[in-house]
Amino acid sequence: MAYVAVKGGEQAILNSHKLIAEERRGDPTVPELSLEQIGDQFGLAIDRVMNEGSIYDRRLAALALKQARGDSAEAIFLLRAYRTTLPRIAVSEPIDTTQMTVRRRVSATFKDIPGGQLLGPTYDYTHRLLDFSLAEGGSKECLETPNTELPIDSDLSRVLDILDDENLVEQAVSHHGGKEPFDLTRSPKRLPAGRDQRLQNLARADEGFIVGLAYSIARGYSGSSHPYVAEIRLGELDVEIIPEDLGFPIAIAEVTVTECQMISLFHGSASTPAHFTRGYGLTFGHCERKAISMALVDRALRAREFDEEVRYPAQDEEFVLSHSDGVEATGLISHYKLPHYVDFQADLQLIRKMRAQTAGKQSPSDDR
Amino acid sequence: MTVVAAMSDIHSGFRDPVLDSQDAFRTVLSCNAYPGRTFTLSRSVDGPSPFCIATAALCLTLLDFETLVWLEDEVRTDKIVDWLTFHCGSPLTKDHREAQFAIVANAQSIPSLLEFRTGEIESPELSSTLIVQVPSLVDGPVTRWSGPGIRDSICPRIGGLSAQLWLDREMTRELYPRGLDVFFTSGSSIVGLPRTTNVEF
Amino acid sequence: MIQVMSSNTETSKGYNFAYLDEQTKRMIRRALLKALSIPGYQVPFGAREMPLPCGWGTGGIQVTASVIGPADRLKVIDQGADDTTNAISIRRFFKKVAQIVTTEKVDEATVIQTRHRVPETALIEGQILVYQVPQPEPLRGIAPRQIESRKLHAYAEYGAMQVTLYEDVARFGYIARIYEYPVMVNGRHLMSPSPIPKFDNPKMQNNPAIQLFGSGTEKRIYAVPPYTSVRSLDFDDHPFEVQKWKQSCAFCGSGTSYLDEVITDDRGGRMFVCSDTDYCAKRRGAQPGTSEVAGSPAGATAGSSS
Repeated sequence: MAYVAVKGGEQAILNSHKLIAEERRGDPTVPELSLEQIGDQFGLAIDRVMNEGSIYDRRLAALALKQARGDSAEAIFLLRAYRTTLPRIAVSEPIDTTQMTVRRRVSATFKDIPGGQLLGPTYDYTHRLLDFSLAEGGSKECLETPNTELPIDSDLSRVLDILDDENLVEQAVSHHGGKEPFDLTRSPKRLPAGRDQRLQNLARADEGFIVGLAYSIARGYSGSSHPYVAEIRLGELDVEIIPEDLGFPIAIAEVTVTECQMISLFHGSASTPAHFTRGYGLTFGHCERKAISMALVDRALRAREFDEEVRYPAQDEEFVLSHSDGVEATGLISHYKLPHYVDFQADLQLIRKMRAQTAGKQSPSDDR
Repeated sequence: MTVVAAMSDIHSGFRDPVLDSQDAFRTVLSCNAYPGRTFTLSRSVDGPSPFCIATAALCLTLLDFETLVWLEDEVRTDKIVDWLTFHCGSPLTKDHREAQFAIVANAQSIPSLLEFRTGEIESPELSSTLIVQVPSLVDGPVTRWSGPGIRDSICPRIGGLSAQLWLDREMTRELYPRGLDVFFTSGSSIVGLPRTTNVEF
Repeated sequence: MIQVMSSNTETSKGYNFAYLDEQTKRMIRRALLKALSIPGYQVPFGAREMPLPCGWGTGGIQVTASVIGPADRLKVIDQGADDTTNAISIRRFFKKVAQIVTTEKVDEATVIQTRHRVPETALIEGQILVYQVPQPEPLRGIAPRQIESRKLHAYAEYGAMQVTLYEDVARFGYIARIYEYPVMVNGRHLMSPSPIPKFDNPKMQNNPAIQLFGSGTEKRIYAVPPYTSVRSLDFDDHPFEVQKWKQSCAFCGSGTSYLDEVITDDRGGRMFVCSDTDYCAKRRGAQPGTSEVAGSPAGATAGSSS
């Protein structure tokens, strides 16, 4: 028989591209999805792709999802690869979440908070019953949001700032004193890492991985005590830059973000009295699950800061930073699909040698 | 002066920034891979005096806003500073001890090599690279180089260097893997001297 | 505004020559120079996200993209072969983003990107061999934490690696490592040769060509300059040796090249063929059926097969 194992690779690749294009499109009698439809109706998928793709552009994210046939990991990869090629034109000012136009804001620590609890859009209190009316081309329910009587404060202080007055919560101080934050997209990770590097990693990290780590913390695989959601807020913010020739800030974009501040009791040490410590999560779009998990993992990773023993994966900075990036992880996992003929051949030789030796040992006379 | 960009008194850079720097980099790579051999750039660049073609090409190839540059007195002129700022955007430092790149035209007058950055024990790559422009690469005293990149040995004749510089370099060799990497330039030619090379007289 | 590279409408419009922007290339070029200056030492670099997955050669691709120019002829091999799918894919990438001339012949190539093999044909001065490296840290199995392994390299504390190899000797009577076999470079830095079979290790030693290694996932670049000592770790009483086959290549008859085992039917039939397709084709073209050794630096090195 002729040996044809690896020939024709180029044609195979081209054919494979045609096949995925065909599968992506599906039945041509069904209308093709528009980016507007994906952007509007798969908003949460868009949010996740923007977060882990590290780029805030709903239309690009919609395109990536369309091209990836709805696979968020593939869409994130597409965005990341595109993002690398973009020039860095300016560095924005830090956003101030107290200036957020809030659509949702809840606290688990106080029943009533200045400015009020605002439930906003959430699946939290839906019953997870399939809505078959959606299958028939749309909900019959009224799509108009009821107007709230009370206007929402435009300057909502954070819940933690209220507790801060009593000095019960650690101060939220900038650890960097004006230093430019670490940027993992331009430098390899550097250990031990600062909180800036860790938070950037967590923000870009695979949601499933971070949720899993946070779950391990919740189940006791972490040194710290029960955490509380001091506040989650969702809303819109302006992103500003200060152009050199202007000298004052101008808004270049509006973004939706989710912010989560968690606190947990710290029993104090010889030098510090007991207080609440913070964990912080921030995501693009509406990604509460990710924001809460990020805040939990952020706190767990601060173990060294609080002289806590590092015993569990979620507290282990090198472990978390090395394994949380979804694009890196899927790449390496999928590389096992690549040909490994050469190493496998070496392994085959070795295993035959080992088995021959074992067989040899069974008859003493053959033993060398 | 030839083609001029934006400001009329700044010398030009590479004619084709993408392909010229690629070409120059390959020459530089060879210099570092085959220490002691003279490699000549195939493309020209009209840098500000007293930069020779090779010094200017090395700057355009390796420097940018991420590299902290120190200039020896003879090359710390307004023309050169403007040129480096315009084409490379490199921050400059007056402290040679923190420089990533040191550019030298008069090797007789520089501080001791022992004062430059030799890197950290866990990060020996965080060390200075010296670009030393010399009057000649062929009629200095004979030296015998050996080490990685050199089959047996090679005998370059770099001019314009003091005996003290060689002695200081010999001392930095004891710090390996920390150390200093040097490119000697003259005209459009370059000789590389990485930290691994053993130099005998 | 939208100009995403898609697998269907491939275009290099909107991208710089060789894909990477110039600043990224400069950063990588500086890392490459430091890597050559400290043979075998892993230089951290700001690896970018590439349009191919991590672990599929992104490190090698970034290195190649930073060195390659219009005057080059690029050869890409995977498992020694030019026609394996990933080799084709990477070659297509460079054809598209750099309009580079490609070749399958080692003799014609100026830059060779490889995964898992060193070509059988001896390389010459000026050629650049770029290795794709999934995992650059030879000590990963011993000290998985970077914070620790960096210290071990800093102080050349490699005793644990010798112990690990000796455990093999104690258990099996020989060192049971057959690829990714650790080497000592320039007598100082322990280095992973990437997952090449140990058969190829001796070719790294005193090679006239420039050997560059890139790991995109782990963001490390390292190098072996030409004419540099690359010693495979071993013991006086258990010297390093390379794999050998009883068989010869079924196509070209070579008795000295690395062979792939090919299953030919479902009744246990198999044959052995050269893993290096260019080498095999060259031998068949030149002198079919002979089993003469083509010049390879392997023969010249210490500790090779007895």
